[in-house]
Amino acid sequence: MFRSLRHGGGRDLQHTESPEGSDVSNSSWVEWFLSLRGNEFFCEVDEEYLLDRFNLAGLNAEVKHYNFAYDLITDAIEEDLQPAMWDEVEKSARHLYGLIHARFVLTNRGLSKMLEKLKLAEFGRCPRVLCHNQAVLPVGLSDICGNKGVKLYCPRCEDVYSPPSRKHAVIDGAYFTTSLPHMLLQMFPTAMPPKSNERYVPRIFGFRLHQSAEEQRKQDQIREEAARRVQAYVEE
Amino acid sequence: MTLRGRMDRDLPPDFSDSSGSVSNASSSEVTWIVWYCSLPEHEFFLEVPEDYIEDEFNLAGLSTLVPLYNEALDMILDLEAESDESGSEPSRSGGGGGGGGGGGGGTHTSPSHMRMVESSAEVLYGLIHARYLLTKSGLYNMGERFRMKYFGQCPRAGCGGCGVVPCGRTDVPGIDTIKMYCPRCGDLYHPKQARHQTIDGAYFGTTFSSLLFLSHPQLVPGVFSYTGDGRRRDARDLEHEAFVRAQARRAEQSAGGIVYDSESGPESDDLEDESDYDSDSVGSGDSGGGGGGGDARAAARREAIADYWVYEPTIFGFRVSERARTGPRMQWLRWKAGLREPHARCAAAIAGPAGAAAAQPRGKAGALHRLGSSAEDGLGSQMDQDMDEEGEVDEDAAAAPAAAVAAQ
Repeated sequence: MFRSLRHGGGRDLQHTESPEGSDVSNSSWVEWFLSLRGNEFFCEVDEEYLLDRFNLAGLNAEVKHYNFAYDLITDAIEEDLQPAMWDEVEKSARHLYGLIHARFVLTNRGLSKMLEKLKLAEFGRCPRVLCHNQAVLPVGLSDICGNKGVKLYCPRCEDVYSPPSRKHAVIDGAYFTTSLPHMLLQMFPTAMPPKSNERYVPRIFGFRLHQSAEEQRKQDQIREEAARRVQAYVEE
Repeated sequence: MTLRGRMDRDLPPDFSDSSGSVSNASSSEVTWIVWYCSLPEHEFFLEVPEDYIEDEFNLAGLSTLVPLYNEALDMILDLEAESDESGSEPSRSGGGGGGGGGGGGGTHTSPSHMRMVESSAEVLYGLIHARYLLTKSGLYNMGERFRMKYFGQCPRAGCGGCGVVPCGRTDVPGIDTIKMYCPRCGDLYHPKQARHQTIDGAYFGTTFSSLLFLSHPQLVPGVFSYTGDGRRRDARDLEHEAFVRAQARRAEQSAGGIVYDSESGPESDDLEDESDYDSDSVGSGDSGGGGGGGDARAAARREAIADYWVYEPTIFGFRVSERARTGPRMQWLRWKAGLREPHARCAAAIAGPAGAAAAQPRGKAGALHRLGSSAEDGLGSQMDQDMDEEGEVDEDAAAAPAAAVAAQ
């Protein structure tokens, strides 16, 4: 019953018509949102977190139709709205959920949920060959909404990559924050994979190239200096 | 004959219809090489000119690596039909001394034998291909493809959409699949699409990628890139543009009634994965109504490469200290001549000369998205901008997460 309200737009009518539509109707808005294609990166925000208004402080200035959107997320919406309005409210609800998600993933609960997803490699794997399929974490390059898409952070090579699938390229990076992977690794240092000094050496008929060899020597130097600095700190 | 059957199946329907029952006519129009390279999973291969293959000098030593060498070579050069008719085939294969020689005439037509010859032909063509790539014309053609980003883009965000080339990790067939080499970060990546992940790396060889950029150094993008009018291209701007474009495209699709994100049928899955290939750079698949202007724009986008930058981990805008147990340890990996060294660099590589430009979209975005408590975020966003001046703020970073978690 509620589902038909939610999908004011014609494009979702199939949900109510399809045999599993009734199944979908019983789930909450959050569950439905998470089941959408491309939203696999999001974790489920705890209900207690959603219902605590303290956690939402300041968000009403960010989101249009804040009250409707909040009611929609918490499955508490009752009013009948125009179809055009529904589309807007739904859009706002997605945005609001993203903003709440950004806050939630930095809490203890959120970090452990993301850790579970990391362990299952739900965010994908590092495309770099020498990372040997290391599981990656989502990260934003900006904490401002509507700025940059989500990227994937590989804890082994400590670099960020574009998600391979286009359906993930439209997700706002701010919904995952710039801090998430680093915060998670600080909280759960065991999730940090061992580092390796392995790297690709370009060769022509088996011979190394002068230019790249020179650059790699310099890189080695930088690495050794950094290791010395850390060592000196540990000994202090 | 199984091969021809496959070939006819792969051709467009009108083509096979016009040739009708005369299958020889259709096979003479499309050579084996053209057919092989036109398969979707073989789009990375160049068409090796026949005169290159016909020169025995170029094939020296390959006969020991490939079983059924002569038959495979005949298949590649489309000599098979003639030799069957003239009856010279048995003597040829006898000369080759491979496994096929003893079988006599009867085995030639058996499907299992044909399959063996087919797979040998693939290996042989791959090995010839690896050699041909190192010739002048091979390098030139691959260089042109690289310039057009035919092989896709580097997945690394800091490479600013640099193109990649296929590269093997060994020259022996049957050991490893192809990888993609990015000349900017000098690293290897897995091919993005599943259909390319089964190609043998030896068909491209270990030498080709390095030799290409050694012989055509103008193809390697520098650390900083400039637009035609001499402006710097900031990677962050490009990222922003790509994101806005992707969102606009999604909005367009949803307006056009295309179900874009509900769990829909497999056909939309396939479509999206196919067009994933170069999500932003190649606009061929996604906008049908673009026309000529769209092509020009897509071409310009294809050429666009942004500055090289190195990612620095931050928590609430503070850089993570290298003294932390999980602090950065791999900063050396992406260092490149022309960049400052990591510890001296601060955030220059990220926000440095382009810092002002990076700050602009932040202002435009208007409302600030606040994370956690407002005090932390205010500090964080300010830090982001001021990081050039502030050198050593790392020590606080380790304490910040603990405080934040406590606050929650």
